Amino acid sequence: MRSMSTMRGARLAGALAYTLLVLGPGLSLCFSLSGIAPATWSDLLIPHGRRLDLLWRSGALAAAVAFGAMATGSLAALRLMQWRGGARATLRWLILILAPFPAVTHAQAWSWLAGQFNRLLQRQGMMGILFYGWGVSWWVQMLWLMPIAIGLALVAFESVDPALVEAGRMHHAGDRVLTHVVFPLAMPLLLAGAGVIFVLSLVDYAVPSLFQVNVYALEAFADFSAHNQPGRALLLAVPLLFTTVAVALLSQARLRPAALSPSLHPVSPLAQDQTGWLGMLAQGALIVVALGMAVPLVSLALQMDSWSHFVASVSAAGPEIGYTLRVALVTALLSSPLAYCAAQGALQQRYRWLWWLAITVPLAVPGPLIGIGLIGIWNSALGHHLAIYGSPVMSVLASLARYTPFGALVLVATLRRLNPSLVEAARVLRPGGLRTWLRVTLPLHAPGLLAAYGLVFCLTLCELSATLLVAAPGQGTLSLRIYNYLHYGASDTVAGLTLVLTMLVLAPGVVAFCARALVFRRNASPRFLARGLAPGLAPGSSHDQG
Amino acid sequence: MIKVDGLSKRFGEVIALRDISLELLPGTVTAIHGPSGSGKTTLLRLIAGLEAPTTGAIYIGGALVSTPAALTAPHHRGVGFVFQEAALWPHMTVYQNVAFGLLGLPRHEVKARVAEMLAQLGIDDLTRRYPGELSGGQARRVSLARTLVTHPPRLLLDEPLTHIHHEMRSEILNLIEQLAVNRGTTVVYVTHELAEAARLGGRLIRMEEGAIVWADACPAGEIPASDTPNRESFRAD
Ligand SMILES: Nc1ncnc2c1ncn2[C@@H]1O[C@H](COP(=O)(O)OP(=O)(O)O)[C@@H](O)[C@H]1O
Ligand SMILES: [Mg+2]
Repeated sequence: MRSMSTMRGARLAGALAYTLLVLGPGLSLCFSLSGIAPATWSDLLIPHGRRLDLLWRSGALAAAVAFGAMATGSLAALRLMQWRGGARATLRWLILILAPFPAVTHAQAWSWLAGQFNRLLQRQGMMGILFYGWGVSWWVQMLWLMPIAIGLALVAFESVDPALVEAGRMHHAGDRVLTHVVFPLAMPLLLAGAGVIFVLSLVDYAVPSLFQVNVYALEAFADFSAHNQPGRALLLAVPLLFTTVAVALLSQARLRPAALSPSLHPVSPLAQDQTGWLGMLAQGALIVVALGMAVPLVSLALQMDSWSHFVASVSAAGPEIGYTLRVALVTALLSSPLAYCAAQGALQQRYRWLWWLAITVPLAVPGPLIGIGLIGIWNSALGHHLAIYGSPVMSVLASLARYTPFGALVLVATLRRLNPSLVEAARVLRPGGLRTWLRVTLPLHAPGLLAAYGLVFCLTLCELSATLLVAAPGQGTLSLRIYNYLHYGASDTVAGLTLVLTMLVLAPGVVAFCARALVFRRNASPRFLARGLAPGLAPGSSHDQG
Repeated sequence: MIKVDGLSKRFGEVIALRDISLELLPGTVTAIHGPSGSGKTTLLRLIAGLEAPTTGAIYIGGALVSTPAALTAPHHRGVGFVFQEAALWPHMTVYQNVAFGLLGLPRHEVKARVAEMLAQLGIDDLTRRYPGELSGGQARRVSLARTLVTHPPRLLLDEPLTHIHHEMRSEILNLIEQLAVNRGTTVVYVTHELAEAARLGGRLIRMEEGAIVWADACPAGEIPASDTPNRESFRAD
């Protein structure tokens, strides 16, 4: 009995912490609403004219990015899953580890490539191509978010019971089994992935603004710059919040418990004889993915003047690198229990809808608004007492509020698909409580927790828009430094620092890879460890035994 | 005909099959039995083409279909496989599950064949249900129907009577024997119970630890006495 109440206490504490740390900044903004003249409310809340147009276009861009990334990502994932054994399995690993570059890296690399191309054209006496606009934003955002798409697609495909695929393969060729069995079974998770990518694209304005595209998310920020009224910015962001909640609900509506039991005898759920039209599409998708990796790598390498310059710029950024790493590690560590608590809440019977809103609404709060909200909380009498404002804790709080909901979403998707009888079996044998939770529940939930940790870690490393506002002078993160250099146009320093940032983002993937190699050197390859892990953060799949 | 030649299969450290050689003739029923973990499922999976052998080869209808290096796709082997776990597709109804193997045929033909098959197995009232709404025995019968409806010239059955009620058992065993007699189907029937294997009245093979320990001639005294009358009564049906 005592252990039961321990669990309840832990849940309550988690709910409070989530409310304070994740919802707090947004809630604190609500207080600033009182300063807005009631007459302007409807004008700000309901987009019309140019703003409505902008909202439509931003939504369309995000939808196109989500579709493009998820379609390409899942086709590429199909091909990657067939690579088993030997050098190809290692290659698949490298693709997953190398994939997650920060958005600026992609933007920079493709602009650089376009510049080279134009120089070539001009030498031939031709006009250069114009490298900006919606199409370019779409392409760059899509490649940037592709690793998340591939990772979630791998999770989706791995969650399909191999026995069901084999039953199909007894009757028909690979393509038909894919369209009739594998895709329908994976669709709920694929849709959930598309939802995540949609939201990430919708609230991002860094990439569009680099290519001279005005999106709705930028509008809210620009308004704040012009009027300096947080309440106004919050009202302007409401349509984004609504869109996000709607998309999240739509994309998760079909996510039903899949009664999944981790399998110790993994087989690739995909036919080896994939030679039909799907096989060709998958090949094309893999080429896009390869381009998305190769262009940033090559452009970074070519933009650096010399090795010594690289070393100099890296060592000059030493303090920022250490600071960024610490912030990301701490944020990811703190966000895991919060996200876990929220995910559990969203899966239980009571207050489910409240938790759903608590996870989805913050997804769409633009970074600057979170920064403003945080300042509102901690730059107050109480905050000064705790001496948090102006300390490194602010950077952690900013990323915590921004990215914990993403971790929670990943956890919801992975936990929901576990076979409940695995946990129930333990319930029957022992009273629910801390010990059962540690012995049975936690190991089953570990893959999802790891995935959430990795995702938050990577996102935090690249966080910019909230940190920009809350970081005290002298506490710059690496992305902040890159952002500043970008404005000076010091391209080789930017390239060097971006390379460092990229390496940091890749670190969890490398660590996961090495850990996996150490732990599973032998034939046993627990598939459940792979399931639920995003790319690069993650052993995408582990069919490469033997 | 199915011919298995010097087949072995390793999973890392585990040797699931050791040097198995077999010839299975059309129109015959072969019952393979042995304790759990003796490699029965693995043997069927290799014959079905779901797994490549570590050494050895498999010929079906005279053609080489499995070697360690190359596999003919499962759907090109003319083999039906009833899985040990029902493996029904949860997003399809019972009707859709059973009709899957017939995709590509004219719709009225599919309808007629599925209806006939379901009636034969006594599950024609379940067509619109989803697998999640079936009992264990019902799911097994649907799984059986899904394979039998395609009239495979070779039929692999992996413990097909699990969860099925006693009264239904002899009916299904009957049906399987009829397939061999009337259609000339090559039937391989796997079970961990000797009694069940003996009831089929075909060839008997015993597997232990991945190897065939005896075939055809059952050493005296191995069939439990209580099973013999059962066999007789089944024959009398
Ligand atoms: N995919 C696999 N990976 C590793 N070991 C396996 C795999 N499939 C079967 N085995 C092992 O091979 C042996 C034979 O298994 P199986 O053919 O399923 O036995 P049976 O069907 O007779 O119960 C068992 O020891 C089992 O653990
Ligand atoms: Mg078996």
